[in-house]
Formats: sequence, structure tokens, C-alpha cells
Amino acid sequence: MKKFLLFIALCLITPSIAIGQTFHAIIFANTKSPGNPNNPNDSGIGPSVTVDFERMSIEMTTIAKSIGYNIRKYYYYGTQQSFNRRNLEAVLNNLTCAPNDIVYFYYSGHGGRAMNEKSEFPEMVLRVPYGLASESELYPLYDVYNQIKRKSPRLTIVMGDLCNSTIKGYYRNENNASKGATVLSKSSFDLYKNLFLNVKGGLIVSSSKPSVTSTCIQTIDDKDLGGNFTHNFLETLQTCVAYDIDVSWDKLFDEVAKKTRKFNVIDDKGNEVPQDPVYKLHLTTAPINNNNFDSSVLAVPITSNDDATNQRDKMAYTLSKVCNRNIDKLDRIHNIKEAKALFSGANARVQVVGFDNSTIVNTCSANSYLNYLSMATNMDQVVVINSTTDNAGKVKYLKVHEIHYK
Amino acid sequence: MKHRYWAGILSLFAILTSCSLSKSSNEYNAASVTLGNDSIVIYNDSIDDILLNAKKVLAYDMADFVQQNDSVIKRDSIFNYHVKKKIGPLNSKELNILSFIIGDKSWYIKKYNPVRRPFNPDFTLEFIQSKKHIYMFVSFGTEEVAISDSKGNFKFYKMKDKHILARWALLKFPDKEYYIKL
Repeated sequence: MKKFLLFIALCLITPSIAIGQTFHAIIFANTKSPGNPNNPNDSGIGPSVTVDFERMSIEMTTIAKSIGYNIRKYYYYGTQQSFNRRNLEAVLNNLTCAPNDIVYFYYSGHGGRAMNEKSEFPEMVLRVPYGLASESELYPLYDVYNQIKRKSPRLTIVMGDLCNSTIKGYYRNENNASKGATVLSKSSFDLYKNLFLNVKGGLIVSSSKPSVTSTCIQTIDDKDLGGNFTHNFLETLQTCVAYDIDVSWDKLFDEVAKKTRKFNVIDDKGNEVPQDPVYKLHLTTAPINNNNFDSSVLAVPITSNDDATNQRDKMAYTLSKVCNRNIDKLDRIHNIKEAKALFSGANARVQVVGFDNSTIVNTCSANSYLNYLSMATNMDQVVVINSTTDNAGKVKYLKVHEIHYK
Repeated sequence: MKHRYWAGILSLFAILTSCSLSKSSNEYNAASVTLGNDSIVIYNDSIDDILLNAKKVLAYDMADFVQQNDSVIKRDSIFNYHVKKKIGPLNSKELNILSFIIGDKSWYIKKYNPVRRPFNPDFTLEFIQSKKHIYMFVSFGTEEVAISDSKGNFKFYKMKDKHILARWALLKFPDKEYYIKL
């Protein structure tokens, strides 16, 4: 009987040991933000925010993988039912952090600042439909930072790509506080470890200074590249990874700010003035020993708040079991059957995109993609970005990104 | 010899880095910084005529973007934009200064990228000439103006200079703290 109880106790303890340190990835993205109904030429910021959302989800997965943390996703996007203040408050209230956990909060959408705002940071507009917002649909970025800091994680990162221009007549009630596959290499592990594991504290960043708007950017042929700030943040981070450039948070944001400033708005004399991000770093050097993690182990995804994210993660896990280099080749071939069952049949297509979420690396049938995965020699996992299904719930089209080892 | 080898490697790295950086900055669409405007019309000839030569202009203070107390009070609206208060006609001095500001056709930037704040007019001007009405909606939060004919056919523009119009608005509208902050 004693042995049985000991066994039960061990079973209860084991998951918490296995979970270890958690990378809490919280994203609020207004991906369905519509255009102005009075302006037929305005498609809204939704497409641009979608680019930000998809790229940031890839980046967060890469970061967590590189530093040996289990990622826990809290993704709120799409309809008002998901992208709203109630969900934001619930996430912040329910968040529990172990001392070595990292919390990375990212917002992409509309924003503005109260007439009486004391911080340099704006408020998020947690509302999908176009039109007037109520006070209960706004939430200050700085309050998110303070709330996460109170949970005492090892590192708090709060980042927003939104306008910081003043909202007429709005005084905040103080009580209302609220390009190819990713390649994991020694340099990417070192860079992410340096940024996320060698420091302790918090940082908050917003895409523009008080009284200034934030812009979306597009290619010359009008393809959305996302927010000016987010695009430059990801480009800079990935350039550092690609060229093994040792970078600290302050140097990283200096470079991001320099690039973001290149995209101008107009000042009162008709001159161009830069979109200048604002950031505050409260970091101290405090290395953490995390050398004994095995980055090649394929982790079972932790359940997220969002059904669609869970579905994508489940699909990604099934595909990753076919390609992960840590799994025996024969087992990978056996796993094809399970992966094949996800798809609608011979007509199902898979599109592989680069880390910029737009470069198309490959498009092929699901069957040939699975064969390719099973033969891949140095692959870690597949990240599912989006999919379309038929009436039976089988995948007709799948957009993925691959994470390889060098 | 060894130094030359490393110098070569470093030069190659510098070239690769600069190529990569310049590529990413050159791919942007520079639409939002295009100041030049070679158009000779703002909306079209007949609407421009009313806009620039109207003898009577009515002003409206518009509903704030954020509704305090979580309720939208039932109000008059111009198309689907709610009116907070009718201010009344502009006097001749106000009209002359306004005409000077909005008469500069290079002030209207026609091609620009979307900003991350919804368009919400702070004030609206109704231009009246021989029973014809056109409207100008001014949204400082997005730095845009919208011009509409009487049927609600809108055209949107980015203001080349929001402050000059904000200084004019300071004389005419309530919420002075807001216009000063601009």
C-alpha cells in the first residue's frame, strides 16, 4: 500500500518536474480589425497585424526552443470574443510564474493615449469592430508591465506596436488600471540565451513616442510587412542570429529604433519626422544555469487558451514526429500514417514559408511533403501557421514554417 | 598572412551584413512619406470649388472616440459620425484663415499607409454654397481629413501639417487642452 501511495505521489510530482521553466508567450493581436466603412480603399490594419501575429508566434517558438524552456501560449486574436479586455485581465490575473519563468507579452493593433497619461506608453484598444470605443475596451500597456512584474518572473518583456497619439476628451481613471527556415545553431542558442537567460528584470517598449502615430509598412507592390516597429524588431533579431552578432537588449533596441526612425511621418513644418519607439529597460545581469537541457527532444505542446492554436499545435506535433531528428527513422516513417490522416487526400497542399512569413520556400502535395519530412536529416520541428479544412474537418491547405538544425 | 585571412573574412561579413540591412530598408513602400503632390485637384473641380469658395461654413464638435461611462448617448450624426455639439457658422475671420490653410493643395497627401488608430473626426466642417453641401471631417488622432459630397462619397487624405489646423481649431472649439497638446 505504501509503495502504491509513493507511486501515486511520484506520478503527481513528475509532471511539474518535466514542465520545468516556462516561457509564457502572450499575444493580443487585432487580426480582424476592419477598414473604415466610409473608405472603400481601406482594408484596415487587420492584414498587417496578421503578419505581425504570425511572425511573432514563430519567433516566440524559436526563442523558447533555443533557451530550453517549455512554451505556454496565450493567443488572443480574430473575433471580439477572443480579442477583448476581459480575456486580457483574465490572463494577467491567472498568470502564475515560477521564479525562473519568462513572460513575453506582445500587442499589435490600434492604440492611443489618454489626455492625463503620465507614462510614455500608450493604451491598447481591445476592440475589433470599427467605430467608437468604450472606456472598458482600453488598457494601458504600462499596467500590463506592472501586473506581470508583480508575478515575479525572471524576465518580463512587454512590447506593443500601436499608435501613441492623444485621444480627445479621454482622461483615464487612475483606478481603471488596469526568409527560409529558422535555423537553430550554436549562435542562435547563444544569442537567445544571452537575451533571455543572462538577465533578470523587465523591459517595456512601444512603437512610437507620445503624440506620434505608428504606421504599417508594405512592399512596393503593396504586400503587408506588418507594423513598422515589429518588422524592424524581427529583422534585427534575425540578422543578429544569422550573422552570430552578440547583442544585448539595449543595443538591440538602439538598432531597432534606428531602423524604425527611417520610416517617417510629417511634422508641423512639412518636414519628415521619424517614428521613434520608446523603451525602458530595468535589467540586471544574472546568468542562469540551463546547460543540461536537451534541445533536440520534441516537447508535447502545452494546452493553450485558444482552440485553433491547440489544433495547430497538435497538427505541428504530429508533423514534427515525422521529421524530428531525435526520433528513430523507422518510427518517423510509421508516424506518417497518423500525419496523413490529418489531410483530406491527394489534393491537399502544403506551403512552406520562410521566417518572414512571406517567402515561399516550397509548395507541394501533402503526401510528398510527408515523404520529405520523414527523410529530413537535420530537422527539429514544423510550426503550423494556418490551414483550411473541408467539411469533414480534414486539412485541404496547410501553411507551415520549418525549424532546422545547422 | 593569418591577419590577412581574418581581414578578408571580416570584410566579407561586413559586406554581407550591409547588403542584408540595405535590402530590408529598401523594400519598404515610401508612400507615407511622399510629400510631393502633383495633383491640381483635391476631390474634383466642383467639390473643390465649394470647399475653397463657400460663403457659409458650419462647425460641429464631434463625439469623442472613447465613450466615458461605457455608453453611447444617442446623438445627431453626419453620415455615421456622431455629433457632440453644433458650434454654428464660422465668422469671416475664421473662414479666411481656414481657406488659407485648406486651400494649399499640397497639404493633402493622397497615398499613405494605414495608421494604427481608427479614423474618428474631432470636428467636422459643413461647406454650403447654393444649396450644395459638402463636409470635411478632421481626425487629428490619425492625422487625416476626409472630404465627402452630400451623398457620403468619401475621400481620405493625410494632413501634411496637422499642427497648423490644430492651432486654428484651438480658437474655435472646446477641448482646448487637447488642441494645445497637439
